[in-house]
Amino acid sequence: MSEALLSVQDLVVEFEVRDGNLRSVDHVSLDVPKETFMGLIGESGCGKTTIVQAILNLMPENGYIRAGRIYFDGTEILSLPPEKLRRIRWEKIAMVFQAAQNSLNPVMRISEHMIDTVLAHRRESRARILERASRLLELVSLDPDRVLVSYPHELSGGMKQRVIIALSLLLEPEMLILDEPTTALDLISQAYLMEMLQEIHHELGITMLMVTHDVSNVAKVAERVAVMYAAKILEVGSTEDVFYRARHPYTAGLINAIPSIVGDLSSKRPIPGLPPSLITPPPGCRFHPRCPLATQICREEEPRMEEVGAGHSVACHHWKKTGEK
Amino acid sequence: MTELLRLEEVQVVFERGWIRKRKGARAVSGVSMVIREGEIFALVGESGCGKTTLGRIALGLLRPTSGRVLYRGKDIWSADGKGLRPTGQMVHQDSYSALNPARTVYQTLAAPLRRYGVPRSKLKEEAEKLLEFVGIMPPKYFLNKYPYHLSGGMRQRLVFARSIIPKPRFIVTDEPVSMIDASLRLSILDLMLKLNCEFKIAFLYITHDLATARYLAQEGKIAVMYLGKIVEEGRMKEVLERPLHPYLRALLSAAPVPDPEIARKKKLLQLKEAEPPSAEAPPSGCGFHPRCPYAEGVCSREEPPLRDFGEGHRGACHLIEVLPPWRLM
Repeated sequence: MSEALLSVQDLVVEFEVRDGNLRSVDHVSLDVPKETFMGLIGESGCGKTTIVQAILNLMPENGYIRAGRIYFDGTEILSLPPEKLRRIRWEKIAMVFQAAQNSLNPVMRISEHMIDTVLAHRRESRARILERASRLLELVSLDPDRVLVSYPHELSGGMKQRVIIALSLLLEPEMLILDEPTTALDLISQAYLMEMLQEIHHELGITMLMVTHDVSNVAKVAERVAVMYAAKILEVGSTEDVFYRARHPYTAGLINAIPSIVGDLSSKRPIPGLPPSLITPPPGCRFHPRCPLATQICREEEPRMEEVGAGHSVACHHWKKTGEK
Repeated sequence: MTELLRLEEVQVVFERGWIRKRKGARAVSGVSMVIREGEIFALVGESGCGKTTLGRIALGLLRPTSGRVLYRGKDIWSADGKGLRPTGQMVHQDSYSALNPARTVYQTLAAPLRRYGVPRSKLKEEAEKLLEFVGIMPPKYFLNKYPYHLSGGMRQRLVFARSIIPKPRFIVTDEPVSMIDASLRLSILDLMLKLNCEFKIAFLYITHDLATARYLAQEGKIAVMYLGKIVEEGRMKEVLERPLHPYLRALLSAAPVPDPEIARKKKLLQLKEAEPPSAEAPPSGCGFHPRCPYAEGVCSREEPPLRDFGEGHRGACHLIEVLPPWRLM
């Protein structure tokens, strides 16, 4: 596996809320190898969005990065002065937020969005910016002659989402982070968007990190997958490892809880119980109250990430048993 | 199975403007369908196709502009059907706004229990029985909780517990699991299957998600809606194995699958346009023709009727006989 372009090490993020400190990311480490399409999956509230907010240091007001280091291309970026970090954002790492369709300015034409974005970072002639913008709009299967002169309200949700992706590529970043990019899109538009992201990844060789709750979407496009549960990453591996040889009972349970339009449904089961509160998480392994394999050690000792195969790591005391079933 | 609900050529046209009324979007146009006692019927379509409007019509909450709604053979909007309401219930997507935040779990259930004749002395016992039945355990612990104390899945269970108090013959559920965590979604669908099995309650399951529709209505039926019309219907197994209509084929080809090998092999059916047209200005002829990769001249001129291809599997497309055979991969 190639070296990591982005490396998150021992990250801790907390939110100060009325009932106390909510630890949304708890000693998480994650490597995104260069030119890889990586998926980060987890259910709502597990902390996956917080990780990407922390990567660009875009925390909400009550959120604090308590510990950890984040390296991008060898440089530690959390300790950078704001001005330097600002240069990395969008120029090196671009990010498409959840429901980003709504982040377009309603009184600006798409062409102005494109020009503004570039000029905020460097000096370049308008003609050159628009030429590059046209190429990118074509890449996301939009008609540049029509779209560039449009206002956001003249475009559909799916088109706006593609405009945002074109915008994010305008400064030729090395990495693109997408947070739930398919939210609020129709099924067919979702499928087109996924196919398009895959094409962009292949054509431009850009490193991708896609955060989503939709396990099925990851199955198609991602090369590697990280699974998050209750502020921890529990399993990381190639997409095949995670889907076919899951070693964490949560991963196996989650995949088996997703209905499908093909295949046998009789073995599909929900995971019993509920995700824990992050203000008072259970001791030991956080999944133990819901886990079919839990024993005494799971209630007492937190499992560490262990390498169980090439590029496949799991944090479970009983990972050997998970595969046996 | 006896017939419970029949819609005949139902049409709904919404009006626009409040000073001068103008005809606006045709949300439902000429839909006929039959739901039998104890049947699970999945109504699948994308946002804006009219599926929620059709659900409201089925419950008698909305009077269609034209067409008839028959409940056990009686027209519910005719003079002699006046006062007749189908004994149906509705469960929405957002359980939080469906519950009164100022009422405890007990109060949420006690009011309708009283209304349906349970004596005061037995309210608590009945409420606990309901909670246990829908899997809110232990019931005693939850009786004095408020909705905000409950997780999304628990709240949806409470809504189902409340919905079965009037002993409904059918329940319309509109995207009931789309706000529920993926690991728990099946448990809510399983609860619906339990209600169906124990009380023979029929379900109209409205969703955009083919995978949950397939799970819930494995033994039931499916109807696919596009721009206010049913374009295909039949038994779930048959319809998913042999989809007739290009729109359903496009949906199936676009549906994500939680299996990397299948997901990568699956070919996305390329449509001419990714976005559906506006319901206010629907295209001529077949509503799908501007997007359909197979469309021919006739498709923009004539509206295709729903035709039967055996055992109630019906499709509304001029070209069904000449379409290439269906393959998911």
